[in-house]
Amino acid sequence: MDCAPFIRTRLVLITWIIAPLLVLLVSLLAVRGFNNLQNTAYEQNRTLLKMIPRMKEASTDAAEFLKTYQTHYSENGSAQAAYISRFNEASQLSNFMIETMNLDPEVINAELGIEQMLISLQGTGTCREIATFLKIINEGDPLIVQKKIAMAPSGKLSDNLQVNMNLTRIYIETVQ
Amino acid sequence: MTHSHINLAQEIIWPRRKRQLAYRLMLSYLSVMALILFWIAGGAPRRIHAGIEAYRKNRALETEFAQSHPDSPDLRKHAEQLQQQLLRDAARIQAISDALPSQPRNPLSALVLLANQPDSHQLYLFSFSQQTRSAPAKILFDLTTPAGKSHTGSLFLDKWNGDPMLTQHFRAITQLQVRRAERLDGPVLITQYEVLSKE
Repeated sequence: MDCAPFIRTRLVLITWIIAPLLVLLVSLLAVRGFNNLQNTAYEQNRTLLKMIPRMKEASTDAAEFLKTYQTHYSENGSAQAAYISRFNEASQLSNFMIETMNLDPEVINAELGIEQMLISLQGTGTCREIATFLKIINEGDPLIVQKKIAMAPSGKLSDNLQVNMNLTRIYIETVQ
Repeated sequence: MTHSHINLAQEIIWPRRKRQLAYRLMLSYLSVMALILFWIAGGAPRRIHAGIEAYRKNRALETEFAQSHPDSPDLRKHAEQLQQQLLRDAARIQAISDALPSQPRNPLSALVLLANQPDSHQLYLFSFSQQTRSAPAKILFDLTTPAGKSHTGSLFLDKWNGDPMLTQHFRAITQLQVRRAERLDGPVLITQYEVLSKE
């Protein structure tokens, strides 16, 4: 019943004070740590399981949207060839006369495979023929965007209009 | 001169009262610590049991997932793959959106209406542009009518403003100016109109 065991040396005293605290901390952290670890892992997995169907749905929606921009020109030939063929066909069907046509592919984001075809077109036709030409082009590919169209009379007595068009079509090149 | 290393205070001991106080303080401290330790130890089985229960539930979730997704390595990797796919798709959609006008407009409806004008009305000049992302699409055009005929501009405006396709995408048409010009087939009135796309 004496304090001698506690105050024998400074180190002994400190040990008597610190050791119980350490034991407490270690046991508290060990028990809580194990419990928290298991609960966190369970809650995370449960949340992931709830999120996965929504992520899948979003992924399907995005894929559906991007599918409209995907092309497989590399399978059959170049994108230019496909557009030239499409525009010539529309020109014949509408009687709109294409005089010059420039197709210039431009890379927007090489890493994501996103490119755009810049189409510069000059031609002659009546307002009705031009409208029909654009209608056929749009029905064939609604993703062609008209950036600039300028029309002016091609002759003093003629109904014909001289047209300059700048069109663009964005696509995702998926080389097979 | 040599110094003495004898510690004269070494033999001094604490008085009895101080030793008793120190002993009681230490005993109280250790008792409190022991009580807290017992309290922790008492709660430990419950916490450990809860931890084991969470572990079991987690295993059940993973097993259920593995059965429903035999091709996926595990739940977390599957979610990570989906996340990567979504990020890639989002980047693609953003890149496409950035390259296009904010709300692409089509001048086709305007051209169809202009093409269906009576013969006396002729399209003289037409321009459509939506070159930048932020600026609205703009249509500017001139219509000619023979100078001798009665001016039917208001009829044309009514027709334009009554077209559902045009009113859906474009604001009301504005008549900018009317000017007289001489052409080979006689004098004409050239009316200039402007239309901006809706935001």
